[in-house]
Amino acid sequence: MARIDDHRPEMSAEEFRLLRDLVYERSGISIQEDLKFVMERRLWPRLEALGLRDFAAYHRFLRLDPRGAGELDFAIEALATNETYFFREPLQLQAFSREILPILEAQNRATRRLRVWSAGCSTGEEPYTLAILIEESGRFQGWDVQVLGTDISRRVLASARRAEYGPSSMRAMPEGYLERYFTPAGARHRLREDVRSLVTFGYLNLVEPGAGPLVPRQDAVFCRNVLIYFDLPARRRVLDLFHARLHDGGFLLLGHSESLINLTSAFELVHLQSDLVYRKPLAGGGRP
Amino acid sequence: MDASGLEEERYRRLLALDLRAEGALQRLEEALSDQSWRVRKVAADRFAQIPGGTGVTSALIRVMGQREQTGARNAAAEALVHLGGRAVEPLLAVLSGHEDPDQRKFAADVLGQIGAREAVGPLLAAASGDADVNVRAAAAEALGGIGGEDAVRGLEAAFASGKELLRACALEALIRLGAPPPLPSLVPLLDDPGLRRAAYRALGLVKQPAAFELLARGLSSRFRATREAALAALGVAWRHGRDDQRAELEKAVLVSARKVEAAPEVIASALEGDDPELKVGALVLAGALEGAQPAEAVAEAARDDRAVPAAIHALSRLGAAAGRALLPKLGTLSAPARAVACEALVGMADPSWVPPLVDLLGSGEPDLQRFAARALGRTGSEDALWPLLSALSDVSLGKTAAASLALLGAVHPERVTAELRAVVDAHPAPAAVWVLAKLGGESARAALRKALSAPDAAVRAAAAEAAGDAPAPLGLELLRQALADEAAAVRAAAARGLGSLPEGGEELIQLALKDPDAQVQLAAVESAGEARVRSVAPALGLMVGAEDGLRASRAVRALARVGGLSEEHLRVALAHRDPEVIKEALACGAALAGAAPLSAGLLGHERWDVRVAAARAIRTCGTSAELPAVRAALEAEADSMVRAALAEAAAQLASR
Repeated sequence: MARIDDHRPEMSAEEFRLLRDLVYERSGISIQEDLKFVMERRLWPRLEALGLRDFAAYHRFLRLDPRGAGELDFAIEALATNETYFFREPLQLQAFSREILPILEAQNRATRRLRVWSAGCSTGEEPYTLAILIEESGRFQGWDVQVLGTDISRRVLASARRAEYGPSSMRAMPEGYLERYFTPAGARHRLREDVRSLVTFGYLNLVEPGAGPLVPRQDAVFCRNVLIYFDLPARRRVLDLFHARLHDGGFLLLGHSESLINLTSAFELVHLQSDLVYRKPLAGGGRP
Repeated sequence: MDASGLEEERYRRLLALDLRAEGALQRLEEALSDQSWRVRKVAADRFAQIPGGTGVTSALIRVMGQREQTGARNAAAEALVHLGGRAVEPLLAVLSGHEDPDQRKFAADVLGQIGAREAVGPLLAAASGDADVNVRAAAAEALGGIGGEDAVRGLEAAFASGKELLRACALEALIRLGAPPPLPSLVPLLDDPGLRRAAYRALGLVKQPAAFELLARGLSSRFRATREAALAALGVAWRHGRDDQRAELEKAVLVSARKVEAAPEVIASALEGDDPELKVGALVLAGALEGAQPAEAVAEAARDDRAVPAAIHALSRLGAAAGRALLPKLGTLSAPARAVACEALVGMADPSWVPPLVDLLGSGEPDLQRFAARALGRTGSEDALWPLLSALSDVSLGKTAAASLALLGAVHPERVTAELRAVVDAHPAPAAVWVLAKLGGESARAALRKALSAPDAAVRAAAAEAAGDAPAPLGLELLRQALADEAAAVRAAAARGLGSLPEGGEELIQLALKDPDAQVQLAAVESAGEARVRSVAPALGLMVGAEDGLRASRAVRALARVGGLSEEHLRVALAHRDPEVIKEALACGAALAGAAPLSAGLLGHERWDVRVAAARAIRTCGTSAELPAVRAALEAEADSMVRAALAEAAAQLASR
């Protein structure tokens, strides 16, 4: 049961290291030394919820208690910020909508199938934005379209499936979209069912060996502001996974502050009009 | 194959290179000059994997000497850093004796990056006596990467006597080490265009009122560069200061804040930039100049993790009226901004906040709902009562609402208890039962009895958990009833409650230890320790050898609390495969005879946290007999945290 007092215990350097190592082992998420207070702040509500007195007790709970594995998911979710909203990074989305989708339409004309993956989708704003853009493009009527959203947090996936959002998620939504694609649901808004049905969700730990077969081959992967949480070896593993799950000629879109420098040369950099994106080379060395 | 394909092939070949094969070293050396930096990088990484031998360092030092090959030199330097201690001796030879000043400079750089303590003396000598000014400067910088008292003293001397480049490098190194030069030597530099920024940053580390005043004065300088430097220094001072020093600093800032030219623009520009120190400085200034910046902008600064504490601090200085104005806007903020705003605002709640908080409670946004539930209890208003009562039955909000109601109950005890009683009578929810029991009183006791017979096991469990706090005869009676419940969750809650009973719980604890459910047993183990029930020591002793780490570690702790932990238990626990059991035993068993040599045997354990725990146990219980083992472990230890624990243990033992 919850505690009544507001006393937040201080996290010792040793507790920080133990918790950091545990999070890293489970998720590949790497937390820098100087962010101890961030970890302290974000995990404190979990101590409160579990009625634990300090972070050493929390570490023991994670390590030993039968509920520890489930609790570690909460901890990871609390530590990976998951800041997301509809139509985040508009220039990149413009590149997807105006330049990448036409390429994929031409590329997949024979199969009439389109697969897009939002890796680290959090509460679903990104995959739903992609579904809206695909719908808006008008290019894929009658096609087999599926947007896949995956995340390491089961709780955010449950929220994503509900497809109900408040004003913070809508803060960058272009004019008119709220009315066209959402219906009021109490103090929030619910996404239209036909768009919602284009998106499926699943749990996936990107750094877990053997995660790949769970993901079908994709035409585009969005992994924005997720790699920043990983260290170099984990980033490389994740990029290997993306490379393996992308069709030849498929696109990889990262956050605006992220790049593949020092990570892999398996993707080529493509200069689109609105943005720079990465692409898995076409078989036979073809270029877009 | 195209160029990128060839590069990829060279890259992969190097990754697959057998380092024991003949010519491997030469291949790697050649690869350091590859046109692709990726290939150079992997070559540098792989050098460190070659075992032993002076050939490796000689090859790398040779590459460092290739003046025209910048990429190769950098890659070689990186590889030497990877080699660590193995590279120190040859690098010291280069630093002290190589004819090429460029080579000596490189050696100093690498030694600083390695952080080699044994390099301090030679680096000090180079900083003061090398014929080349760039080598002197590089040596000073390197000392900033190593630290230690001798390095600081040498850097202070270099700062006091050196020429401009050396002074600048020494100052930067001292800042890096958190050891600013004395205040009088910094004052003249505050107007020096070349050293101003560093001087102000150093000023931020001087924790004296006079330094705070100078810093605050800089904020209102007519020169923009000075204002910016002072603002960044303010950030440094705030980040590195203790609470009392921060209060002093803010007093000084308050005096100058009103004189800061175009303060809102200065703050806004710093908040939009990437410099975390500037951002923190701007937040401290914004806190001093209430209203100079919209609260939303202050909250949004928390998108940079490093600015979070300062953003919370600045928001908490807004005052209740400004805080109330921010409430309706919370829903539109980014997630990190919302989090800090909620944290800062929750303690500021007053009765006028109830309507907007009720709106947030109905917002459907889980974080804002939790915030509203927490803040409502802190308004002290009776109007907060019903919204909180209605939140009790919400699965995700119930616990928060209950804790909040307990706070409200301290202000309006009769009203809150009466309304809670009515709620529990009508629709008992676990959270409602829990908070009613916390508030106590006759009606709470009656409610507890009733709740223990509720059809919902979660309600019965909440009542059982609360029963431990009830007065002795009633508590004992209720817990006895709960221990006979068919639901394990109720029995486990009762077993937890047994530990806080002032008397009479012993028999029930013995009973609970034999419960078929593991959770009940574990709760009983905890309660046995808490209530100091010595009679269960034999049963606890059997659990120490349990394979399950949770059971074994709890048994160790409980045994120690009841005074039943023996050397034999300690021996068994220290041999457990779960490191958590070992650590618990080291922490609990340090007082036992024989604990010191057993602990010393764990100084070489594969896990750093076990080694730390062993060092701490020895510090508590060791004698001079363990000193050689501790010193030997310290000598061999590479982990800084373990080294610190060992050093403390060694110092303690030496003084005994």
